[in-house]
Amino acid sequence: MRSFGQFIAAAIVALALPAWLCRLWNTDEGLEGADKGYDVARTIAELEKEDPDWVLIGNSMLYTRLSEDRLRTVSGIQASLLARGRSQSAMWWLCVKNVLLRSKVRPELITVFFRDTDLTWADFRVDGGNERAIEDLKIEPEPEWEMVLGRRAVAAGDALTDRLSASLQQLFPAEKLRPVAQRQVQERAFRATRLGTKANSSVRRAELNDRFSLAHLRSDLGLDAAPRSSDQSAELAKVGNETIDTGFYEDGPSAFEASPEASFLPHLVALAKANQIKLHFHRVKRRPASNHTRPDGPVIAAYMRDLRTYLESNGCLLTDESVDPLLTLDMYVDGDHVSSKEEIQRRYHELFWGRVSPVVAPHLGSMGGKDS
Amino acid sequence: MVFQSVEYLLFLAAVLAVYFVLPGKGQNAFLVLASYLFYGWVHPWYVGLIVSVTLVDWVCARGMEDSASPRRKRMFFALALTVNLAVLGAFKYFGFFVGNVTALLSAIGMMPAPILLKIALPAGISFFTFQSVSYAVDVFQGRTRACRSLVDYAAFVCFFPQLVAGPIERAAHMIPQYQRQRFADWGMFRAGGLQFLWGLFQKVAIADNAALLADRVFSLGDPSFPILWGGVIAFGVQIYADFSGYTAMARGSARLLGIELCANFRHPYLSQSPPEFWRRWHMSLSTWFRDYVYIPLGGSRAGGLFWARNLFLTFLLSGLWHGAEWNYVVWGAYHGALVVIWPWLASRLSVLKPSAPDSFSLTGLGRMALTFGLMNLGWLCFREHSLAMLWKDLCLSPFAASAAEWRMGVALGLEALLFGFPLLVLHPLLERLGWLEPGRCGGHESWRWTVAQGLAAGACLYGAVALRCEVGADFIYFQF
Repeated sequence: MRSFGQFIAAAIVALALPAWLCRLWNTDEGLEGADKGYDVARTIAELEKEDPDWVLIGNSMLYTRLSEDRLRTVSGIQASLLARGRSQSAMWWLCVKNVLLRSKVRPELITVFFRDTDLTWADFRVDGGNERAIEDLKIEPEPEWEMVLGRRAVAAGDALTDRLSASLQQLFPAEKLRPVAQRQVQERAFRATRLGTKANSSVRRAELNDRFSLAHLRSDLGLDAAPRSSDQSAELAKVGNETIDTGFYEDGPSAFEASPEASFLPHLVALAKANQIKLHFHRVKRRPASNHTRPDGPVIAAYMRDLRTYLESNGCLLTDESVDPLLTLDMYVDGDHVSSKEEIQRRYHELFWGRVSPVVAPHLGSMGGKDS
Repeated sequence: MVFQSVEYLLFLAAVLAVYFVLPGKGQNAFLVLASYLFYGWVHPWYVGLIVSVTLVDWVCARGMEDSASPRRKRMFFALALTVNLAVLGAFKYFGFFVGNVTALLSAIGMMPAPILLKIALPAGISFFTFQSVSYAVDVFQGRTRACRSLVDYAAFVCFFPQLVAGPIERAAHMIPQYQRQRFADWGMFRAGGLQFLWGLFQKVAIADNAALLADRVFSLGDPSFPILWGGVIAFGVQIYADFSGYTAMARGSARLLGIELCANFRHPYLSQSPPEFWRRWHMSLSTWFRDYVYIPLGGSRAGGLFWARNLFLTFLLSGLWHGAEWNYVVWGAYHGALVVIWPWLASRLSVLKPSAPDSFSLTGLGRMALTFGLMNLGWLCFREHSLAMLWKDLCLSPFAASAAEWRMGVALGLEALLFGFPLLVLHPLLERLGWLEPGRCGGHESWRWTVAQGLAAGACLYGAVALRCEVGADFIYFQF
């Protein structure tokens, strides 16, 4: 009995100590520079200041390909980019709903940049680093979110584990504490190695980020981020692009599904319709293998056929650069990202505008922009 | 199912709830069922493989023991050995073999038809086949009795805490534990829980954060010397914390079930020589290779060159055990060369001679630093799968890097070492207090010690929560 009592006492202490420390230190203090999620109010203010006719939404596929200034130069249109690295269809829908449509801006056209099956891959990247941004973007109860992702959680039988995870997060809240604690370790390493430099930690962090930027990564890495395990790295190094195709999308949808429970795409289409904004989807070309543009495999080809049918029947526009032979391997910096070099950016913008202008120009009534 | 997941916590809680109300034989049958569920969680067909291997080894071992004629006994032994090695060969080395033969034939102008056979590598196959081989050898040599109960033997092969990444156990240690009834022991629960939390902390707070640093460096196409070595040190911290963390969680889980698993690490980075490192690192594998490869090859009996050959071959095979890729072969050969050369060097250079255990000296510290550096050179071979890139890495000059690159590289290495610092401080402390080892865990029965033990567990849990890396990496040794 004494032994049991001691076990219970030890267990209570073991749980109470971290719960108390988490509550004590899980504050906003010291969060400077860490990922603070999505600043909806600031984005709305910036959008209203720019008052664009054309809003482009996407992730790194968008911001490594296009910039607002260059796009304005080649097209003459006032365009704004709502681009965020590692974002996905769920966040794009939330961006349109809770950022764009909450602002005073009513663009004539919204373009969504996507890669292969991204548009209907509802749970792609909704966790693993995007949770805070998603929480910030969900500024009111979102029944559509529950309709799409809530159903999946129950269907996958994860309800019990989800509940337990949520309880543990409540018992040990650490989402604000964690980045600060990790940064403090880095800070100490910086402080110990400041010999010969007057640069402060944020400058040195920027230097480090620059050193590990896309331009320095191995060209045979196919993903947006560095590999998470040594075998993944080995696989990528060994078989290159073939792995990128199969590995990256192996968990994604294998067929197009148009129902509103399946993805956020129907909700995005409905939002645009209700607000009389034209929707345009642009499929990017993935990294070609040795300048050889690979045709779609049967699964992706069927998916794209069904997607096109669905979008056209809903009055949306679709362009596809994936078969463009002029987008050559030398334009890519790593994986599917386009190089930031001046010459390549100029080439890409011209190719992009050449491809999309016949489709989108008729819907951009004020061609030439509001300034002109 | 991985140990640091919510699924595993629920699974373990469910197993514990049923396990202790069952009688002895029922406990083992339940453990086997739970282990198969654990193993087949993602790929159910894995269960078929492990069941087949278990059946063959159990039948063969009984056949060996019951056979009157030595010829029949040898036949059973050969069958058991062949099946185990064939399973390992087919799943782990077939692709490597075919790939290399194809490359060789292509190089001499022949164009063989490509054999496209993609076989998924079942998790932990190298661990449970080695455990089965050791059982077959031990029964054949009369070192252990054949297990008469299929259920007890199946529990020995598939016990879920150690199934996927060890420790590689021996029948003589494990089967007697399965043959007795286990009761809920609250003292063992305390020690097991603390060990599990210590392992969790090592994995999610140390290994995963170090992995983030190492992965960044090994993703670079143009690393400089200091940045590369900063990344290698990060990988050195990662692999130790990852594997040691896994082992601690395995031992903690097993202890909750009343089963004691063997230790796998004894502060390897405090070793003062490469041979000592191998007596402290992945000890269950090292002793396996010693007992079933090195000694059968002749060990040190013939002395001189034969000893060196036996040692080198053992390490080469150990390298290949880690993975069917050339970089692992290079890694094994490197360590084989180190352990052969070191005693020779130590006999000529007095500073390399080991000092008395537990004595502290500056030269001892120097030997420790040198050994740590040599081990990290090995980790570079281990982590870099492309031989071309490995060669490029080895050719990097420290003088070609700028001061800024040096600052970044040193900061990266230091950051990894800071994450790994608890391994150097907390682990020895917990061990010295006797809270992580069997027999001594229940020694501190006063309430003051109970609270202290609870605080230590709370500190591990807090560390795991506060420093948990957002993107968790796989356990490295799962791939072996």
